[in-house]
Amino acid sequence: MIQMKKLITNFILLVATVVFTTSGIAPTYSDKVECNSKALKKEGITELSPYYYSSAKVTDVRYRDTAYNSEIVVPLFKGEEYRMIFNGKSLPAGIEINIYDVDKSHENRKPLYSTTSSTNKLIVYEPKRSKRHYISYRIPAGKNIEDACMVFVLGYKLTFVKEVD
Amino acid sequence: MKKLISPIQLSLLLATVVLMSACTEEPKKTDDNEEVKEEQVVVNDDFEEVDDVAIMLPSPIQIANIFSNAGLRYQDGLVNPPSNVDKYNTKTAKYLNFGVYSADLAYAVLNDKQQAAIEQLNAVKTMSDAIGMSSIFGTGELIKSFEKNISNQDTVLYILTEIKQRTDAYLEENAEESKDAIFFSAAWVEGMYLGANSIDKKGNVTPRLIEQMTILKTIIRAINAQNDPTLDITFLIDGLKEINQYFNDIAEVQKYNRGEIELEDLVLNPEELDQLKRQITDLRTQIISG
Repeated sequence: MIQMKKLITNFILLVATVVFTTSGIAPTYSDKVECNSKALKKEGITELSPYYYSSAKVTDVRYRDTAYNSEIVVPLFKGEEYRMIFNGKSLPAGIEINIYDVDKSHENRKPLYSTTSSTNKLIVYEPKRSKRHYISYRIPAGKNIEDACMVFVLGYKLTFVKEVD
Repeated sequence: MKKLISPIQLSLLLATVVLMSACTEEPKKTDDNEEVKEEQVVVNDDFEEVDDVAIMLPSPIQIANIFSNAGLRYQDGLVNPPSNVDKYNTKTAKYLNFGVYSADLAYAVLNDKQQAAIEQLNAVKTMSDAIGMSSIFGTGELIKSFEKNISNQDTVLYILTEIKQRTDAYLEENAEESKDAIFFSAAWVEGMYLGANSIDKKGNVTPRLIEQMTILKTIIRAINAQNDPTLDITFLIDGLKEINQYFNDIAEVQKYNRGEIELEDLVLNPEELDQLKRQITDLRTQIISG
């Protein structure tokens, strides 16, 4: 009887060990994520209002064994106002977005703005200065992920200067 | 004393506890509002970099608006006549003049030249049909809406923006994003031609022309990435490079490039402006000649 009890107790413990060790462990980057750039762009364009759509850039994000950078050059014109929308909702892991006003040949350049993309929300940024901007995405290391993308939409404020006679 | 728990049981229990604590957790989500602050943040860029730099080209509508706000006024006879659509038989000529007519359309709209705007819109449509982009205009509802609202500049500009969005979406869906550089470069040359030759009522157009010259290197870079071998745009690239080279050889421009002067202090003398105007006009003539 005592032996039987021991056997049952050990069996229950063994089962508990197996159950707890195989549940709840989700591989962080092993799921395939779809990039619906059309929908992501549409969402971004909606956020531009009252700015007018200028252009958009879809950056395919392919995860590798090591982290890397991908950059976009954005010419802006003096005295104009802009809005930048970053939609990284299709991305499974946070992409760091850094915005600079000098290119990467400048050593120790410091970003004007730095944030991490989110599955929850769009990122909205309005540059304080209208000179050329450089957007740099830092993509962290990851495996077995394809078809992820970051959608960047640029809008400008359309103004009319009234002629004074 | 009776053992409460055997060594085997203890081992299993410990193993369970250890392995449970090794389970990964879902990343916490925050509901922080994205407060945008410009701050100096030190970033560690010390890891593998990819040499892929994409170019974001501006909107030709915005460039036309900038010139218009600077005092650029419509001058009859400058735009590419819509009747020229019939002479564009090559793929290259059609692509380029889609860009040219787009710039002419924005010029007409922003100067409230309603009849000219309708004619230019039809020319843009003809070119878009010729290069397989007829879906941009749908079943004709855009043109009808444009004509109906021609006296309402806000609505008309919204329609132009819609055309731009549809063009970009079409190029993306067909994996032809690089063609945007061809449309844009032709539109840019046309815009510069109009800017250099139109009435400058307030004298503020020239600084804007100079500002546009500072993005020419970026345009050349974008158009060089164009990957359709059936398009013969060598003349366009060579022409743009020649203009860029002349501009960047100017002493004042070199000062600007070195950061010694600001853009608003960059001034060209009349001879330099005339030479630039001639080069832009020559290139534009080649484009619209087909």
